[in-house]
Amino acid sequence: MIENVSNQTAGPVEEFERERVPDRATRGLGSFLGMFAGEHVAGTELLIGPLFVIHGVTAFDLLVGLLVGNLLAVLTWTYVTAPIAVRHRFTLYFQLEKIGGRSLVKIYNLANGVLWCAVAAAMIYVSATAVAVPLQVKMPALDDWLPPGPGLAVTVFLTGLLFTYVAARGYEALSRFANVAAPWMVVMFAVFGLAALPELGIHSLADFWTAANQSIWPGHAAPGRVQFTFWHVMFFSWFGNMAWHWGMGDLSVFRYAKKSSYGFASAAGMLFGHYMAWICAGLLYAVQVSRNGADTAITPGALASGVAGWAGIALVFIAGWTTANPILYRAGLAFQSLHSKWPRFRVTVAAGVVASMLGMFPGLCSKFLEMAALYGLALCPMGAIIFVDHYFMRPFKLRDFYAERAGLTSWWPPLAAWVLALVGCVAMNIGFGTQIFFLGLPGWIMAGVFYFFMSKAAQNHVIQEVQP
Amino acid sequence: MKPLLITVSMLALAAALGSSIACANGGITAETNKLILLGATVAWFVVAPFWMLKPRP
Repeated sequence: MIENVSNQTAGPVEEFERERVPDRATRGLGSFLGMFAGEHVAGTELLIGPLFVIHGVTAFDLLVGLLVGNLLAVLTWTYVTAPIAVRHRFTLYFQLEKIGGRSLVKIYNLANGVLWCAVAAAMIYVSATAVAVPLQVKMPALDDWLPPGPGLAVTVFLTGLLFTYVAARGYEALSRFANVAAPWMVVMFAVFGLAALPELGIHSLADFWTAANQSIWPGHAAPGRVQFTFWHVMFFSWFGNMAWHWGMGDLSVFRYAKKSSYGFASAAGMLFGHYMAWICAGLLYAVQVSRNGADTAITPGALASGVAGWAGIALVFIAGWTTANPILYRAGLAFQSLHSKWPRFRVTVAAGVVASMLGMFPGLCSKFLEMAALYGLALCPMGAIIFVDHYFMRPFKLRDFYAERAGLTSWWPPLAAWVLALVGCVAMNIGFGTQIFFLGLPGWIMAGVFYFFMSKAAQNHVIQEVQP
Repeated sequence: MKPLLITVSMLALAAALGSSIACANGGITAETNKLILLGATVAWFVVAPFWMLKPRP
């Protein structure tokens, strides 16, 4: 999911942040397979699986919708992101700077930092629910926006402070730990699914299909929740990581790939991290509801502990921590980039404290699907701008990397296209009632079209001014 | 030494998966499965770092 911070944790010793990655530094397919498999198994998977159930998906819609959506995500990484990454071998930030100038990167970093705080908050909450199990802290009901008591608020805040301190000290040690934990986490998610089966009365494949339709994904949305269909599931699983494929965030990763076909390595993350983990998390939730029909709360720690005991508690805590840590670290870096004299330690602590406070509100986590969609939507227009700059500028006799070529620190068409695309998405949402899960692609296309025509007008205008 | 460490780590993961399959088939109880999962988890984190982590440059 959006836990993907692969450009940080997979980073080699030499970062090549402001230069093309040399051929000697490129990596083989195995590095990408391992990285995607590990980094798409995160604590938030334990929120997403149950949330699909609450939104009333049917078994067919979930199993097929997830398969199609995740395959589309893999194809997007392979045919949209990776070719541009391998062609230029620049980070997203350096490429944006060439297109729109340094000020564009700063604004992008600000948006990224804010969104990362919100995502980190969800991960802190997930880990805190694991701490809460042995402490027997009172947990919130499904639709509670506020913590049910000081116990949960304190647990979340202290968990967040711990994560923040480690992130502020630098994420390297925990990143190494995350690499060790990754294979175990993948297996543990499978274990969750297997261990849940007997409690659901499933002893054969035929049993599974019956239980899937009747008790796991019965297809009834909880009151106040949008009724999900096949299309919701498909688009969510396709766009869940939109900021990284359509949004080009993973340019920073695939610039190390020897070939663009390494984009297919993302299948490892989509199949194990998303397809399997979301299904298994749904099974866990079904077990909880089957034990007590009134217990509809999504508390990953309690869910995992119910079927896997202490090992489950450990998984929830570690899965949340290993993904929250690099996100907090990057949020700190993003905010620090706004003012180079701000010390990274203090900025990271400030970001972490904000994330910890946000995590205290369980309502935020029960709306995680919407939050994930918003994250992708907000950042994906930048990917469209990079895409258009790469494929359409030269054939139409326009200049790519215009800010760099013109020596500008700020070039308005990319920023204007980004803002206008988001305004267009808000208009679609308010005017036509288009749900946020479906706005990603229209937003991406609008940003690309706006950027192309505004670049055409602006570049011609500048050229006419220079050559009257 | 490294092949032995890898083997032990893989056995730990296999034990976790195997016991859960056994639990799903009714071969062992859920409580026994939880104990095996905990053992496999401890074994993984004790052994795997020795072969997975490269010395820092």
